[in-house]
Amino acid sequence: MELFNENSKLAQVILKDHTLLPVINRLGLKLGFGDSTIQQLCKKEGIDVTFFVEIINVFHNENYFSEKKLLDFSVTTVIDYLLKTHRNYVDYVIPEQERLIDLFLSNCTTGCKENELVRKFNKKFTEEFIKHIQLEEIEIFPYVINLNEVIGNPSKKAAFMDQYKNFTIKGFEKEHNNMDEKMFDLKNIIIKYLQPNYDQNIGNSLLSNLFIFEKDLKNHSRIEDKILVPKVKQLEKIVKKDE
Amino acid sequence: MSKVIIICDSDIILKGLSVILSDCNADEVFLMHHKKELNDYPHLSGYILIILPLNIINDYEIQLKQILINAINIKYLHLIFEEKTSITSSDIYIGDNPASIVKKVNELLNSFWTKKVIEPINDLTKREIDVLLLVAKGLANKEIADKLSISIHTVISHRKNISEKTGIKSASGLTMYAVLKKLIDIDEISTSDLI
Repeated sequence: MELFNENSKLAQVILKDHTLLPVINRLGLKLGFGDSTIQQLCKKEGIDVTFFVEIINVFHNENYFSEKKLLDFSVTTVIDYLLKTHRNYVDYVIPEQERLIDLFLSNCTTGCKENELVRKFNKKFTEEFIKHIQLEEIEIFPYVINLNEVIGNPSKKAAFMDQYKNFTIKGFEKEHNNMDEKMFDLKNIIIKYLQPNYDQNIGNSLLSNLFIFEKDLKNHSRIEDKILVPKVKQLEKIVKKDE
Repeated sequence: MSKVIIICDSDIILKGLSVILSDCNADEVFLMHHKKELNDYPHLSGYILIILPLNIINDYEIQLKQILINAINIKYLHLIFEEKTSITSSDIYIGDNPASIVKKVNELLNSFWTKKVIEPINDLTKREIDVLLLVAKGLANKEIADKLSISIHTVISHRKNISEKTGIKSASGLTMYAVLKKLIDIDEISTSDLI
């Protein structure tokens, strides 16, 4: 599959793969690209162009393995991107999914009591998802940022070791499985088991949304598991080697 | 869960094999430039097929086994870069055509389950429904085992089959399934926090 580079015109990139739009927004660019290349746009907005290109390639091509290159990015750049993604989920993607599920269920004519379970299931998924995001933002990311600061300023090491005596990034990866499971279930329930008494067009929108969200989430987890976690392990090795 | 790990320092070969194997039966394919990178994946479990160049195999098998402590079984395929007459079923010659490479990989992956009879996906058995209903009511695997007087291992195996047949993995998803299939009355669960 084709890969993009800094000389690709962003408008052409989007014409080839429109699912990159939310990714590009999170990276800091908005529509109205004209004929500008990625390099020109990133320079204008002060965005790390190499990181930009790597991230859109990760999303565009599932087989793209750039872990090596990505490990060169500063953790603050990666975390900044992850935080923006979280905001996008909380402010837009999740409310949109809730809106579509509400619309979908409000068109139900018979057997609605059962279908109501879908709403409840989605609510639970949303709650768990937000909890997961909070865990990352309140515990994991600050840990990583602090760890990174110790690398640049060894005098902070003692305070860091004190605060995070038994904390490591290990185990963080498994966190993602639950999210994926519920998403997978919701999709199958709607496709396979709901009674066919709903508005087809709304059902289709809801499912398209779910598929896009699922793909996005998978790539988001990929960035966390394959870039952030290995990077943090690297830093942990350096900081904790004398302990 | 079966996984394929390809270890090779050539990006061309890694990338080429990953594209070819995107259709194979493995649940996941991992690409690594060096076996050292395996240290980042100590949690990898299940059935693992490792593809690597013949020249680096030597004593690696023991080392790899020590890293992949959670693996149930590990098998190997060796990459051969020069054409020779003695290519066996445990070798991949890089000049092989993609279909025969996928076939070889799938055969090895399938051999992990030689004893397992592949059943067609159909309705749940009576015992599976018993388990499903207890899952739907919020019981943990241990409680289900006690209630049905079976081992927890059997419960887990039933749950795996239920998920394969229904396409539903989470406990609350199964509760919803049981209600939608009218195996359980909605009023039995609607007041609780099962979903």
